[in-house]
Amino acid sequence: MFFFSVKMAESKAKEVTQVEYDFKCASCNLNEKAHYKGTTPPFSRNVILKYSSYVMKDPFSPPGKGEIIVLGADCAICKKTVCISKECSLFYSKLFCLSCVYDSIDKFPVEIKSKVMQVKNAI
Amino acid sequence: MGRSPSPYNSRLHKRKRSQSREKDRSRKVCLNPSSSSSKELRSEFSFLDCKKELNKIFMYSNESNTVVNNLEDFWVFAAKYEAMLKKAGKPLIQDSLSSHELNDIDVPIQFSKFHCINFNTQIKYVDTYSDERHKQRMDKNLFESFLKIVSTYVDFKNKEKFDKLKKLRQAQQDLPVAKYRTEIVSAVQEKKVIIVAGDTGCGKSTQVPQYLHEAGYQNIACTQPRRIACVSLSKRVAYEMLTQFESKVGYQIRFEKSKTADTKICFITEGLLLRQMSSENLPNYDVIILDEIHERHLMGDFLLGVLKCLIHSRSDIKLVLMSATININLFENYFSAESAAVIEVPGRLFPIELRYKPILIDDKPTRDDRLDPQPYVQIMQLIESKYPSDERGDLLIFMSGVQEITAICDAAQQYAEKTKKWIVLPLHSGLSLTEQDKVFDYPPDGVRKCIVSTNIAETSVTIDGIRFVVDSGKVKEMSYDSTTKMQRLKEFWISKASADQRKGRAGRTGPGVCYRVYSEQQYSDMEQFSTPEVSRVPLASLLLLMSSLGVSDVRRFPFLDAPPEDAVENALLELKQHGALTSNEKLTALGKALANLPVEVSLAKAIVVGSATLPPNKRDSALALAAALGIRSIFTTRAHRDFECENARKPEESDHGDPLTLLSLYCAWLTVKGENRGGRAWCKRRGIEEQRLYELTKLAAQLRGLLQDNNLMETPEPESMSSAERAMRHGQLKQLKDMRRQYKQRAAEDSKRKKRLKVDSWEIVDEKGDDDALDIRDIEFRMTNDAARIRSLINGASASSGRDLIMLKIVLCRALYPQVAVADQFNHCKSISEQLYHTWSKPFVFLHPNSYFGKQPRVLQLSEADIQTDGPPGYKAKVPLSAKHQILCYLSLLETTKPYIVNSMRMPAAQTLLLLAHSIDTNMGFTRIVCDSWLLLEFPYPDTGLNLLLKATKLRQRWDALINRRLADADPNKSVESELRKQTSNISYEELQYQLSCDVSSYMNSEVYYTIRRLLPGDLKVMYCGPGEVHPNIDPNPFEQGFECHPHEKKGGVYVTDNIVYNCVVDTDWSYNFYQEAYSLTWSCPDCGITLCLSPLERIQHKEFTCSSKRETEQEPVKITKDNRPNAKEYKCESCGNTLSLTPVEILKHKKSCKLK
Repeated sequence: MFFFSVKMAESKAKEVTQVEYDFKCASCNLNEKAHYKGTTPPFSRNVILKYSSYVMKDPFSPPGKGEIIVLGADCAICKKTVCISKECSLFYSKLFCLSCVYDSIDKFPVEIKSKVMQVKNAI
Repeated sequence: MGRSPSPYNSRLHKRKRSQSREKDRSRKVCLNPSSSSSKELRSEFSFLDCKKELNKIFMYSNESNTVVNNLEDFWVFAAKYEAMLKKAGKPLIQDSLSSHELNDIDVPIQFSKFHCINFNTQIKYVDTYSDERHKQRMDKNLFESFLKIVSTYVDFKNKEKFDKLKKLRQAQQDLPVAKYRTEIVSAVQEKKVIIVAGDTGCGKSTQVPQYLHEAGYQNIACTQPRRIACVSLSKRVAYEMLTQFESKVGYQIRFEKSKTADTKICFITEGLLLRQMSSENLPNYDVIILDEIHERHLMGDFLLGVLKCLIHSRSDIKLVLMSATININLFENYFSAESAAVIEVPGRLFPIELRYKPILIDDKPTRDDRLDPQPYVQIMQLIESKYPSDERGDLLIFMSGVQEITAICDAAQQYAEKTKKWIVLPLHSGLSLTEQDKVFDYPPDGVRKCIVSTNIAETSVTIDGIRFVVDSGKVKEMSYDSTTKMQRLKEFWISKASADQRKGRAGRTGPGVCYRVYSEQQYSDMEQFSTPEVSRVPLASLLLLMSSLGVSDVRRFPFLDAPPEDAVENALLELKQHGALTSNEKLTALGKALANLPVEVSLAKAIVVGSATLPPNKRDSALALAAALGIRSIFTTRAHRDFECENARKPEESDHGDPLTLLSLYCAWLTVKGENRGGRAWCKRRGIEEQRLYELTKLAAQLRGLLQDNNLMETPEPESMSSAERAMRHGQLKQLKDMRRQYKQRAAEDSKRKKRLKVDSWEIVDEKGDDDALDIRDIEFRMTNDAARIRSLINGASASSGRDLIMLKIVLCRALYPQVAVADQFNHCKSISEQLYHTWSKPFVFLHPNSYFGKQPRVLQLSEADIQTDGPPGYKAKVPLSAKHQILCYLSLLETTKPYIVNSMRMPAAQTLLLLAHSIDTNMGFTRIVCDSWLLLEFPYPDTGLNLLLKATKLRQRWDALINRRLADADPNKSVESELRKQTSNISYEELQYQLSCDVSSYMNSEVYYTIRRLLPGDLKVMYCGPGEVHPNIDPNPFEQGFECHPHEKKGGVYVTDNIVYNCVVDTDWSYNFYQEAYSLTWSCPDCGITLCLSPLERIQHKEFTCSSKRETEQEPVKITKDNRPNAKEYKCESCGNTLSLTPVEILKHKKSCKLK
């Protein structure tokens, strides 16, 4: 009985503290509800992110499995929110929106340059 | 998955670790690949060799994560990853020496692939002991490298999932309806009613509820005409809203719901929403979406009318109507007063080439009633020659009915066997679900599916990949004749709307071709739209539901299309006959009870009457019987064709008729289930669709629940189980749940895999594989029904003999009355297929060849021994005199090739008729009795007719009282008065039921000799003496004490009860003579011994009143002689001029005899 009530309280607390972020990609307009922003998503403790990102619980897996989807992050330069799709952003230690990558392409290693050009040509 | 190691294991583990450390040190030099050891060793190293140890580490990590969830998948990935590195000549294990120098935008100057990954995996390294000595061991550094692969995998998985999400959003964006999102949302906000018209594939059914939910609506109901659509739509929408593991989106259908308090969008069947309207607490919907309203189903049409009224009183409810782009004007005009906004969404249809290929008259075979499959096969040939076989695209042929489908399938199959380019698949609702599902499977390359379907594939079933459509232009549709209460299955030309719908099926996935097997002229002659269901189905249930919803005048209900007037009147009459409505069309208590039960009115009545009449342990029999008759036929098409199936069913056949055969088959199936012997094979052998039996069980349970909710049945005490039983049941349930999980997993895997059809799959299905598979329905059945429950179901439902059987039959018969049929008098000299029957409304109907009596009509006929050849002297009749006459009580009439009686049951004729007939007319001597103005019973033996009628009348009164008491007790607002009455009449139900059942069964078995004859309109003209006579008052009234006799305006005579008219049937010579004879003979009362000359009625009056009262009060003996009777009067006859002292009865008689002279 006691255990039960504690559990109830816990789940209630969870509901209250659950904040939702309205994630919207500035580039492709993908609009989703993110459950967390940061580097240590609480739903999956093995995973640590290098760069503070918007994370949602994986809606395609049953709950409690610790599955997440990292949706995107704020661009390290212009702070615009972008999604992780390669048409919108590039991850290199941090997340950059593609236009910022183009603007400061020389500051990235050559490997990145060729990768970016590939994407650019594809678009 | 032992994620947390047991203490024992971990202790063991520690010990082993300390051992291994020493070994470690000794090996380190040569074995650690991250040290500067030889390059070969490095390149040979593979993490796959350490799979076992690494898996252990994952398990010890005590966390649920992507890798643990997809362990197998991960190792496949790891293998590929290693192979890729090897190919590129890159080392598997990288030195972590690389510089971490950052530039001015804070990114590492030196490139590393791992910088492109956002993920870092943190799994604690645990040293594990491996007894496989020759393999490389793990160490911390290696593990770090390994974690990078894990991170790469996590990143890879994340991208996969993200792409899935993005693709989903893209697909939603690409739907035609997406462009109208803001328009739809703002229209709903501004208007009360909006109409969204768009053809299949535009996405309205899945997207509009989501748009509205995201716009802030919190409780959205969305109706669907079909149950299956509710389930699949709710799944799809939940998936799209990323809530497939929550209950935000739910469904609610007849037997199940997934709706919870969290549910914001609920897909619900039309019928169920209607029933919610009738209950006082309509859920607090803010938007009600009606989908597919163009299909014009009965419930959909009615729902439209109800909601049209509702939105006037409830301004907080928004109404969204969704239809295909057919007949939008109709709906727009219907809601013109509400100024409905119309938003038209173009469908996503590819161009379709249209070809008319009419069958020319010359092509027709000589016997033109048979369908010629050649034109259809020719089109298959044409497709084969014209379109290369590597271009995909299947063929869909629309035929009118099952017979036509079989004919085409046979011919197409023959053709397909030659060319091996086709897989022929039939599709109609009579097929089992697995057979139906085959149309969704994929054919091998170079082979096309040829699906031959009824109009089920027009809207209900959508098959992707159809490129060619062949339209026969015909449909078999049920129509209903309300005067004869007969349903008719007839072939019609389809409407233009449905021809276009059929055509559209070819252009869903790419450009297509539609062949019409009729002329363009025929197309332009077609009706614009199909006839809505409201004009072709029985209306009684609907009107009853309307009444219970509070529609005061059903004739003025704002129907989209008003049903035919006479159909409404006939349905109202039917409801009045059932006692559901009073003569001024108010809902009765019985009507209210009937409206609550979601089966047709007569079956609902069987349930309510059964629950009032049958003893508690037998109530399930009426429920099961009504449920069995309320679902679709349990028999497959094979059931009546295959001799073995028929034979296998023999032991369960009841010679009482089809309803009881159904019941005993159900009980037999339950027995099989109770013994855990599966059931699928049992059903298959008998040609039964097991799915229907599950439905039957669910329907019966639902009906039982409704009866209990409405106080018409006691809720039984939960059965107490011993702890051992409980434990066993618990274990059983656990096992079943496991099986269910397994099944679901397998089903999920199956759905991912594309199912391949084999070219010869049409032939014989591998039965063995079928039986081995988990049967989810069996599992679910066993989860809800434990052994004890099944036992009680069997006990309750079986009624194979004796009083139980008689009572069940008469209960059903009472509910179905006046649906009875009498045999044609010449049946005894006709063959089995020519047996004719007559019903009140429809003469000359046949026994359905698949019904029990259709095969065994002799059971209904009188044998030589049953017929009495020497009747009483003076009595001569052309029709046989017997005590064994039987009538048929039937569920429905159906006309296909001939008019047929469907689902019939035999009943003893006179007993049933006198007990149940709505109007009973008799002559003076009770020797000629007319039931419902169409059947004449003649009782030539003295007193037999009167005694039987009197018994029937008393039983009817007791039975009615029992039912009324049940209904009154069920009334939640029962008055104090009735409570008091209940206390005074302290005889329990059980006792009353028991007494009634004893008396009814002895009454039903009473042996009385009579003749039965159907009256023709000509007979009826001379059957009644007519008004204008002086009517004797029957006082005291032995039929119903205190009933004030009053004359019948047309027939003459007087009512002695509500349904018996005395002395209105004219006498024939014999009956007049018999009456006179009875009168002139002195009669001695068996009780008091008094000897008098009395008419039959007077004798009864004496017995009922005078005789007993005399015994009680010792009053002076009533002296009655022939010339000095108490009610005799001076009477002067006008025709013969005599003055006589006669009773009123005698006056009438005298008049008649005078006239005769």
